[in-house]
Amino acid sequence: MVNIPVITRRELSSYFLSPMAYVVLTGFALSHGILFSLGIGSRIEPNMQAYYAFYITLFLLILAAPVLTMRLVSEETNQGTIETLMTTPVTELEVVIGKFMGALVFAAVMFLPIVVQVVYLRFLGPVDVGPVLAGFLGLFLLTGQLLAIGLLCSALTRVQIASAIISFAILIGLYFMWYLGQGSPGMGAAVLRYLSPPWHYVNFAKGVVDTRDVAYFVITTGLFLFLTVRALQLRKWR
Amino acid sequence: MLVEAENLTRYYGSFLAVDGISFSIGRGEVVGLLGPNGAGKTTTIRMLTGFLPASDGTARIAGCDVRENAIEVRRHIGYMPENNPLYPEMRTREYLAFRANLKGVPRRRRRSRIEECIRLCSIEEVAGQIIGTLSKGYRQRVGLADAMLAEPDVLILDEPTIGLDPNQIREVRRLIGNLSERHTVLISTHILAEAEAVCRRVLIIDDGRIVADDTPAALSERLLHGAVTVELKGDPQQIRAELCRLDGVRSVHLADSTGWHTASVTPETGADVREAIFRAAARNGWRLRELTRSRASLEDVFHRITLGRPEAEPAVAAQEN
Ligand SMILES: Nc1ncnc2c1ncn2[C@@H]1O[C@H](COP(=O)(O)OP(=O)(O)OP(=O)(O)O)[C@@H](O)[C@H]1O
Ligand SMILES: [Mg+2]
Repeated sequence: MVNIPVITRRELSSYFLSPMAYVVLTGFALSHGILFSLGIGSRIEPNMQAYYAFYITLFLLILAAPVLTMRLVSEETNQGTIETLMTTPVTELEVVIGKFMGALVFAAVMFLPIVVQVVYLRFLGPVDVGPVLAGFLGLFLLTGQLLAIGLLCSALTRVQIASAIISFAILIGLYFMWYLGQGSPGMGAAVLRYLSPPWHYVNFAKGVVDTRDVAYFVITTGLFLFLTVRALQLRKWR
Repeated sequence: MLVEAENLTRYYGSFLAVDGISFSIGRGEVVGLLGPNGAGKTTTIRMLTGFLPASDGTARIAGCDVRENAIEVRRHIGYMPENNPLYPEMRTREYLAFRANLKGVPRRRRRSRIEECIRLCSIEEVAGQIIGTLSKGYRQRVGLADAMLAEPDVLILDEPTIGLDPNQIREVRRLIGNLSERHTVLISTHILAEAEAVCRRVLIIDDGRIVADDTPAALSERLLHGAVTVELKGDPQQIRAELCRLDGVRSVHLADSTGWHTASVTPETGADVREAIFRAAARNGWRLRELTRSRASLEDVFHRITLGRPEAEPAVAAQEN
């Protein structure tokens, strides 16, 4: 496990050396800022506005997560550096966790505008700390899950764009399950709802921390990371 | 034995790329894996490093099975893959630091070891440069510096001089020559002169099989009878007759030129007839001014062994530099 921070550091420096990362950072900050100020314009009270800040992030992440993760493994397989990487005394698990952590830390930097917005709301009126912390916890869990999905897609193809498109499609599918599951009653709809990330995330955004929601994110994230490790191990057999 | 391959076999689908290769390499040996394009060199090397699992057979490095004990095996090898993949966005020193970390070079020795490798590979002037902007020769040296970072028992280099200009080839070969003083080296190449220059033992691989395993000198010795060239002054009739009678001589070809006669003597396989020729000259009172034995180059050997594979010939011809 000693190699995880080594991999994470390299991923981070590699993010900040690529122009794509800055496009994502500014893209997120701009679109999030615009959506946020549209909400301010309608003069809702600060607690509602904080909820709104977390809510819009839900949608921006569909675009951001695939772009952030597409190069993580694809680039290594495509450039051949996977061969130098996997012939050092490092395990597939260390590589996967290291890369995952790198993406997660980068996402945290990307979310800085949200922190600024919450601080700004404090000047407009009282903001409850609890729901905001819950919102950040939910954001952390959701981001982890979406990045794990993107990471898996990146391990499945050596073409970065293909990786981004596949994970984007999966995320759209997962979100769509939320809409499908919302209106209708019955078991099927409930299952659809339960499997979709937004359904769990909005609870956090509203300030409700339910262990079942936490468990949902932890288990699914773990599952996708495990599948990524398997994909890396099985890569040899193709 | 530091490197042991036993019946290594690899299929790609139904295509047999490596067909039951066995060999072993002892500590301190410098071995060339020589073969035409598509012979299976890279596949063999990838199985040795554990990057690619073998379809059949086993490989051991320093006594550890590459499949069962993969992590331990990787501690013993310094590997530079074909085409020397590097992270183009990183700087040279930063890259080496990352690699030293991964390879578990002890923290207190890390910095000095990195600087040492930078010096050994003469990449001081590009140590702060972005790898993507380096010339191919420098990139190759960065790859070599990386391979030797953790002072591995075995260095495995897959075509380390491919795509370099003659000066850089000489530089990189000199580097490998230096490495071979302290490491066991396995180097794959299809450049024959390279194997001859740096290796003390050559494995020739063709079509996924090892077809020869010997020192470069012994290979040419064994496979081609070195013709002897003699320049003599004397009676041509007598010279021809006497030379033909010598033990171990198969045929004599005599060319006459301005008083001196040049005889090409083809001996029986393995025989060295130089001494006999010298004695004959002394006995008959001929004047002798040259007596040389042309040693078959590895190139000839390689050509012979892999003959019958028409696609192998252009590969050989293209590499004569
Ligand atoms: N991933 C793969 N899938 C299918 N066939 C492959 C694969 N890799 C190699 N081969 C085939 O296996 C054979 C041996 O390939 P290998 O790369 O080991 O040759 P090589 O001796 O290294 O050649 P070169 O000198 O060109 O590098 C070739 O015929 C090649 O086409
Ligand atoms: Mg090769």
